[in-house]
Parts: sequence; C-alpha cells; structure tokens
Amino acid sequence: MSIFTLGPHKDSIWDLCFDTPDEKINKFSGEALQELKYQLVQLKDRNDIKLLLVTSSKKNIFVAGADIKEIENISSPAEARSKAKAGQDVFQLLDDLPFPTVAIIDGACMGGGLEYALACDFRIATSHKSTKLALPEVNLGIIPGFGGTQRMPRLIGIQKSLGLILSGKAIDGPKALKLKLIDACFHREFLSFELDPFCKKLLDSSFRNKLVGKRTKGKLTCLLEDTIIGRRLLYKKAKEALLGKTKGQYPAPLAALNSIVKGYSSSLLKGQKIELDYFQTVAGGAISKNLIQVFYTSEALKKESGIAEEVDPIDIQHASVLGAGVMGGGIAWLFSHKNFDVRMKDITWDALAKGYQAAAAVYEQLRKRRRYKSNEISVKMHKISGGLDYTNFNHTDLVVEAVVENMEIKKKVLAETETHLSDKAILASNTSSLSITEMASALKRPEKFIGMHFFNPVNRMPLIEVIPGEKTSPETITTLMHISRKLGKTPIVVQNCTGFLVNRVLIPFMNEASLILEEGGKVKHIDSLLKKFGMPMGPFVLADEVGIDVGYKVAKILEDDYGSRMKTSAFFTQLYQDGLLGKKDRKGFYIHRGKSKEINPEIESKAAAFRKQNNLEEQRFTSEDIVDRCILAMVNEAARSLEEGVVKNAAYLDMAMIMGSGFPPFRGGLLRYADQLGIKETQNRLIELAHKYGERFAPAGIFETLITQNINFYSMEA
Amino acid sequence: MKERIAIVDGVRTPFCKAGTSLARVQADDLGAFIVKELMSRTGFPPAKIDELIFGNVGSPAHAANIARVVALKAGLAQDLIAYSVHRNCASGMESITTAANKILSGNANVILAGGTESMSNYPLLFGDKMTALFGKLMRAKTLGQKLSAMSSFRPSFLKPKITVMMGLTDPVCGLNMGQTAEVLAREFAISREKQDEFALNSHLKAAQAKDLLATEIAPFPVPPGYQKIIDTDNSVRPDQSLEALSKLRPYFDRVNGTVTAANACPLTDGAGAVLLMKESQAKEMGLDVLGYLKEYAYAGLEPNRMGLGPVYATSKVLDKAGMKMSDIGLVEMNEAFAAQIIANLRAFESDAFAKKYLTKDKALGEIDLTKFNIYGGAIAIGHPVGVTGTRLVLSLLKQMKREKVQTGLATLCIGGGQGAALILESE
Repeated sequence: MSIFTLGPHKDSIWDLCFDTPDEKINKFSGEALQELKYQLVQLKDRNDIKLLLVTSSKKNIFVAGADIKEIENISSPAEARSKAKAGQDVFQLLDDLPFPTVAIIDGACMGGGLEYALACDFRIATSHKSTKLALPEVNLGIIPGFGGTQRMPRLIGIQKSLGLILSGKAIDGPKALKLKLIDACFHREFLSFELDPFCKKLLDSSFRNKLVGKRTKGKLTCLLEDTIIGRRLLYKKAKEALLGKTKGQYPAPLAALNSIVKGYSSSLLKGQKIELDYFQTVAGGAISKNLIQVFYTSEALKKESGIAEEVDPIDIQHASVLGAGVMGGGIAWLFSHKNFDVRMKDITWDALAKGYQAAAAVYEQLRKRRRYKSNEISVKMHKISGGLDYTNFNHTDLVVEAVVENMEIKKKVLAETETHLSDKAILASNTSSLSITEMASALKRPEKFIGMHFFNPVNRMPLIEVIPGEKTSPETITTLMHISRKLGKTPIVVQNCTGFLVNRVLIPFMNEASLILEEGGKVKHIDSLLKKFGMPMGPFVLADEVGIDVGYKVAKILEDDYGSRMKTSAFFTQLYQDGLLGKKDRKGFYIHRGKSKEINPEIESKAAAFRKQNNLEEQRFTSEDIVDRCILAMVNEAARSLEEGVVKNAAYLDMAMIMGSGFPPFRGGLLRYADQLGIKETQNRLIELAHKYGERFAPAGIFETLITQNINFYSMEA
Repeated sequence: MKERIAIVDGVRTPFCKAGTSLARVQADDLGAFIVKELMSRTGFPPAKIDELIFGNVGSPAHAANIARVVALKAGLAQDLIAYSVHRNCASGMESITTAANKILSGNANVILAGGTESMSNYPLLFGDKMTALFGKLMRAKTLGQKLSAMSSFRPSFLKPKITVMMGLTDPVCGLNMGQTAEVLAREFAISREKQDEFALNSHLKAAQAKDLLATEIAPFPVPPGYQKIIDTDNSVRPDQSLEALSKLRPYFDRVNGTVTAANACPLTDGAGAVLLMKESQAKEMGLDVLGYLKEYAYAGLEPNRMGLGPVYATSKVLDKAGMKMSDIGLVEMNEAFAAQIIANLRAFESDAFAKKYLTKDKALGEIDLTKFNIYGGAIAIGHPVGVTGTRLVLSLLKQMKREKVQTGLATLCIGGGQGAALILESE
C-alpha cells in the first residue's frame, strides 16, 4: 500500500491524495517524503494534467506535520541540514510542476503540512473547526525547514509571516483567507458542490491571474518590506520585541526571524539555503530536545488516568465553591467559563461579592482581549449563584472548598458541608499544603474526599494537583482527573505529602534566596541571576507576588513536617513579623507602584542589622553559587519527592513544576536539568554545597541509586 | 369544583427605585437571576418544568419575548418553552393565572411564572419628525437627496419621547395614571392630608416588616462590577414624616391637585418568580407548598377610573368563588396611589357604590385595616409594573402562613381600566 495515491479527479484534473495506510493522521516521515518524491518525479512529465489537486483522505487532518521522532533524533547540525534539505527538495519539485496545483485543506494543516500546501500554486481551506493552519515549529525549539520561512513571506509578506511563525499560533480558514494565506474558503458541507466549479475556473489562466492579483500587498507594507531600509527597521523592531519576550533563552524564534528577513531579498532557492543555515543551528540542540520532551509529556498527561484500575467517572453537572475569596471566585469563574452551574457559599454577603468580583474581573480581562462579548459574559455570569446557606448543596456533584488555610477551620467546614451533600457528591479541598488524610478524618465519607489544588491566578495557571488521601476511592480520583480536563486544566496526581509537589519543591527556592540575602547577598542581584537562568521571576519578586505572609505560612508548615532541611530563613521570619506583606500591600522586597517596582531600600539595611544582631559576617557569593543554591535546592527536593513516589515519574514532576511554578520549559524541567548536568556531577555539587552552606543540601538518596545503576531520572522505570 | 393550583415556592429580588442600584441591570438579567435562584432554592428538578411564563410591561428592544431570554439565561433547558404575557400592572398576576389555565386544561403540569421589569431602562425614542428624517435619509440615493434630507433637520427634532411617561398615559382617555388618581380623589373627596397619612403608614409598616420581607427576597449581586449585593428594598423610608410629605408639590395637577410623587408609588426595578402545579401533583411529590390559588377574576371599567379596578375585580371573584369579604382573612391591594387605595376602601364599604356600579344591593364589605397591606405596599416598596402581581401573591402567602390565615385576597388596579383579584388559600 502506498502513502500517496495519484488518480483522475474529473476531466483533466488529477488528484494527489495523501493517505498513510493504517494511520489516523498523515505526517511527513522520511518514508512519506521519499514516496512523494517518486510521485512528483513521474508527474512532471504528465502533459495531460491541467490541474492537480493536493488532498488528504484523513478525517479532520490534512497533514499534521513532520515526524517529531525524526526531529528529536537529529544528532548533528549536518544531519539536521540534510534532513531538512531532503524535504525542501521534494517540495521544490511540487513547486516546479508544469501545471497549476491546488491544496485542498480540510483539517489540521500544521508545520510540514502547511509548508507542503505553500509549495502549491493555490490553496483552498474549509471553515470547519478542525481546519487549523500553523507553523508551530518554534514551540519545539526548531524553525520551519521545508521552505516555510521562505514561501510564506513571499506569499503574504514579512510582517504577517512573523506573526504566525514566531508565535507558532494556529489560525482557522476564514482568518487564513483574510491573511491571503489561502485563495478561497468553503464550508466543508458545501465542498461537494462548490469545489468542482472552482476547480473548473482554475483551469482558466485569467482566473488564476486574478487570484494571484488579489495577493498584492498595500503600499505601506511594500514600503516596509520591499526596501532595504524598511526591512532593517522591521528586523530591528521584531528582534527587540522577541528578545523582550524570550529573554534570549529561546533561540528558535530568533533563528526564524533571521531566516525570514534575510532570506526574503534573495531568490527562493538561495532563501531556502539560508533557511537551512538557521535550521541546523537549532534542530537537534538541547533546547529543542527539551521542548520536544515537554511536548511528549503533555501528550502523555492528556491520556493519564491517574490510577491503575479502570473506573468510570461520576458525571459532574453542578459544582459548588466554599469560600468566595479571590481563589473561590477564580474557581467559580472557571466552572462558569466551561459552562457548569456553580454556587458559591461564604459567610457574609460582602465576602460573596468578592467572589463575584473576582469572576467578573477575569471576564472583563477576556472581554478586553476580545475573547468574550458583553452579552456572552452576562450569560456566563448567570451560571454563578451564591448564598450564605447550603441552598442547593444537596443537588451539587462537586464541592471545592477554598476557605482559609487552617486545619481546624477546614475540618469544621468540611464536616458541616458533608451533611448537606447527596451520597454521590465529591468533596474536594483546594488546600495548598494541608494533609488530605487528616482533613478526611473529620468526614463520614473519606472515600469521597480529595485534594484539588488550583494555582493562582486560576484562569492562567494550567495545573491542578490532584491529591488522593489514604481512603480516597479510585472513582473519586478518576472523576477529578476527568473534571479537571473538562475545565481545560492538566491534572497531575500527587501523593498526600506536606506541601504536595509544587509548593514543597518551590518553597526551598524562595527560602534559599532569603538565606543568601541574610548572609550578604543582594535582592536585585539574586533576582536577576535567577531570571537569567530562566525562572519567570526571581525569588523575591515571587515572594512579593505570593505574599510574604502566605509564603511564610506555607514555609512554616513545611518546616514543621520536614524538619531542619526546610528550616525557614530567620530573616524571612523577621520580615513576616515586621508585617511586610508584598505586592498586595505595595511593600515587600520591592516597593510596588502600579505595574512598576523598585527595590525596597529597607530590606538591605534590615539584613545588615540582622547580621549585626546575630553576629554574622557579610559574605560574598559567586553568581554560580547563588544560582546553584536556589536551583539545586529545588532539584534536590524534586529528587526526594520522586524517590518517595510523590509523583509517578520524572517527566510528570518536571511538567508539574513547569505548569505550577513557571520553571522554564527550555530547560525541560528540574530533573531533566539534573540529567543534563549529569547525575554524578549534580550529586557532587550538592555535596559541595552541603559542606559550604549546610546539611540541607545533602543529596537525596536517589542520586546514589541512579549512579549505581548507571541511569538517570528520565531513563528510570516509572 | 375546580382543582386548586399549588404555589410551591417563590422568591423575588429586592425592589430598587428606578435610576438607583439596579439601573444598569436589564430586565432579562433580573428575571434570569430570580428564576435561577428559585430553582436553586426549591431544588426542583428542571426536567420536570414544562414552561416558563413571564410578565413584563416595557418589553426591552434587545429581548423580544423576554420570557425565553430569561429561561435560557437562567440555564433552563433549551427544549423548555417560554412566552411573555402583558396585562400592564397585572402582568405578574397574568403569568400566574395563565399558568393556572394551562395547568387546569391539561396543557402543562409544572410552570414557572413570574415577572420582571427594569423601569430604569425604558428607552427614550426619537420623535416622529426625526424618525421621518431617518427614513428619508435611508431612502436617499444621491448626494443631493441626502443633503436635502439633512437640511430639513431642526434641533427640536431631537426632543425625545419618554417611553416611561408614554406607558403611564392612557391612550384612550388621554390621562396619565396620576391624573386618574386625581379623578378618584375628587370622586371620593379624598384630601391631600389623608393621602399623605396613608403614604406615611405604608413606609412605617414596610420599615417595620423589613425582616419579614427579607424572607421573600434573594439578595442580588449587581453586575457588571459586582461591587455590592443588595438585600433590601431601597425605596422604603423608615424616617418618612408627614412634614416631609406635605412639602412636596402636587405632580399631576399642579394647580389644585393632591397626588404627589411621595403619595404615589415610585418607578421601580425588580423581578420575582413562583413555581406552580396542581395541588394533587404537589401532594403526590410530597412538596411543602407555600399556598394555593383558589380563584381569580379580571374586571374592566372606565379607563379614567382605572384605580378602582380592585373593587370591581373583587366583586367578580367573590361571586365566582361563592365567597364573601368576611371570608377573607388578609388583603394585599397594590398601592399605585394613596388616593386610589382610599377610594377602593370607601367603595368596598359603600352600599351606594355597590348598587350603582356592581349591580349588588349591599356593599362588598368593610376592609379591616389591621388585615390590610400589613407589610406596607408599593408606595414604600415600589411598583415594578410587570412584577407587582407576583410580589403581592408571594407576600400575601407568606403573611397567611405566618398569621395562620386560611384565605387571602390579592388585588390590583390595571392601567387602561381593569382590575385583578386572586383568592389564595394557605392550607
């Protein structure tokens, strides 16, 4: 069976159909490219063909892209170059065919698929929701390598191409038509009677010329894109914007920018060589490999059931939220956004109003970004209701408790709530660090109780930690996984240890930074080093965002349970006792004014006073030590968590930290970082840090195990 | 004998004076909120509801058939049918009696009835001349035609038609509702002082009953900012005094009138809803019901005396039910105007009135003021025209339960010259 089938369509119109045998999707593997080449070589001498349709037989898929496995396995720049060149050469054959070609795109048209379509003379797409066009290569740390960075700007211009290629975002048929990326857009349902007349018209060269004529750009665009000075300006602006966004940590978008702008003024052939030059700088590199791993992990997580046995989830129609604070309101927003009825309960109407406000504020942000219209928001807000009593709790399927983080209060509230619920209802706690099993001890039906830890702000953070207690039933776990996905979030099952996973691993990062500060480090220096490492924000900015009081309380809970290795920095404790709160009070490690902030000058004088009081000498630290202390403190705790089985495998752990704490995806994750550093080297460095700075750095036992077995975190058996 | 209709439960929003707290909330949103809240409070299975019928007077342009919009926004199923009813000030009652007819005729089993009104959002309209100008402009094809159309514009064209005033003016007799109250004041020789005194009492009673009224109110979170959640009727003035009332100038007859803005009900925003089914079904389902609708009647009279609607309609409903005023334990009569209420009270006890207008030998019977509008009325609480009927029924049933009264009468006057009267029972 062959991957490409050539057959007559009608009259002198022929159809080249991409139909990978025994697969649900089409993708450009090396084999597929070979076969396409074979077909194209035959085709070029077919004088009888007047028009070639380039189609796919797969439902909802045109071409899903290149084979990621093959990209991942690239081991050298030379290999990268030759692989991309092979694709370029085949698509050039398509481009060079002596008769007009038209791609019929009815389904996903991604990466290599879109480059394939771009090599055709014309493109038609459907308006169907599965029809998505994108060049998402930068998301995997590479750039389009089959001519995409050359043909797209030549078709729609540099600026629009930058918009699509640098972000990797997908667009639908109507949007593609607006960008002139395609020549016509039909409803899938109308294809049967609209396609043939259109193709018939395509046989006429004057109609073809008319279509090509429609692609002309505006005068101003030409002035910018088709002059050397204009292009320089464009390049400069785009580069600035890009560096602002990527902090220079993601080389692929920059490579794409270079390839697009530098290739644009050359011939297509030479442009494609330039594309190869840039492709080989990124493909097969460590960052690309990390991003591909992150992609695999997120795909695996989509299928993860969270438990060994197969159980059917309970159907959740109606949810309730206890405690209508910022978090409660955010959770209520999420349910309403995903079309669930949700009822909030709090103890005063003023408190309840805060919940409504939090939900309405998210909708208002989305309205400004044109994701919602006012009338749609009105409909969605009607999904949220609220009261001071347990009205309707007997009809609710899921209660998410988001009251104050205090074991006794939570136990009391949960026990009271349970008496108002139906037998099938699930009770979940959005605790960030308290023991689920202990909370369950106050309940009559612990099997229906589980931890459901959302991250703040709920609308932006993709992770939910799902924490089964000792007695939580498999049905409850499955239901939580199921509903979390329906809410558009990624659930990861985490065992019931103090701080669960993300906080347990993240708090040492903030705590270590504070220790460095009290020993003589500088706030700005420490923050900038860690930001440079790739963290979305430095530890002190993070502490201010989270709230110094909140950070302190969680740190205390961890210290109480994990003991000396988690001992809260005495200086941090002092700041908490001094009443410093962070951003919410506009004063923490920084002074916050609206969106801008500057160092709070009191902090360093307080630190100096603290040292004097405790007879500590002011020390100086190398940049390397500062970064390693903060990052390896996390690595070590992550390793320990994995060793204890807190999470299923290293990949999931890394993903949780990427989604829950913003750990930089280009580094692949904490444990991936250790793998790349080398397990032995990481262990040595931890031992060194332990000698220098304290026993808390004593490496987790798992390092020794890995070394003995000569494996690393990602090659462990899960 | 006809089966009674069970009013299972009901709830309303707080009533707010037009232009105040609820001014930015549209009628469909008020209605949707209250339906959703009623569903939450009753926990009644939505799938068992056959239809939603809602009263609304100032039908908003953006929500034609507002009942359907209310149902969908409240999250009721898409296959649940809904339509709107309009009998002016009795629209809320009309939703209940229409529902009763449907249920008794076997066309539905369970109906959500109610009313919603945002008098704050009654629009201003362009006048005829401006409308004609727009028409001309739209038809104009050439620049010359357009210019000629535009040149006919005069600033006076911009004077709007205020729909709330238009709605409150009878198109047949030409009198504003306030002016019809003046007609009654003269017919029954009701002084300004008597009217003010009545208005004062309404406020004092409503203020005193604040906690009792709270039991029928669902606190309303106010979009779009949700800065506050309103839980009380905001036009009730606990500090109202005769002195303050006497300071106001008559509004409808500036020369020698008696009706002022303060001895009349204010323009109001609000919504209310009730859940209805046959008594037998409620019993079968083991529901704890609020009360029952036993009988109802609407009556017509001269548009310029529309305020007397209650006495006409009550006469009719008593006949229909075979009852006497002495059988009635509690009365709720809508306070459109103090003059209009006093006129009704006098007509109820007047043999002459009964003979002349009701074709009866004797008066319907005196109404005991201790059993009349015991929580105050629309003068204090407000009168969102499409909702008041719903509120009267809800409020009266709650009073009857509390006072252990078996039979009650809810009645109101209807702009255009009609009256409505419902006989309710608690057990």
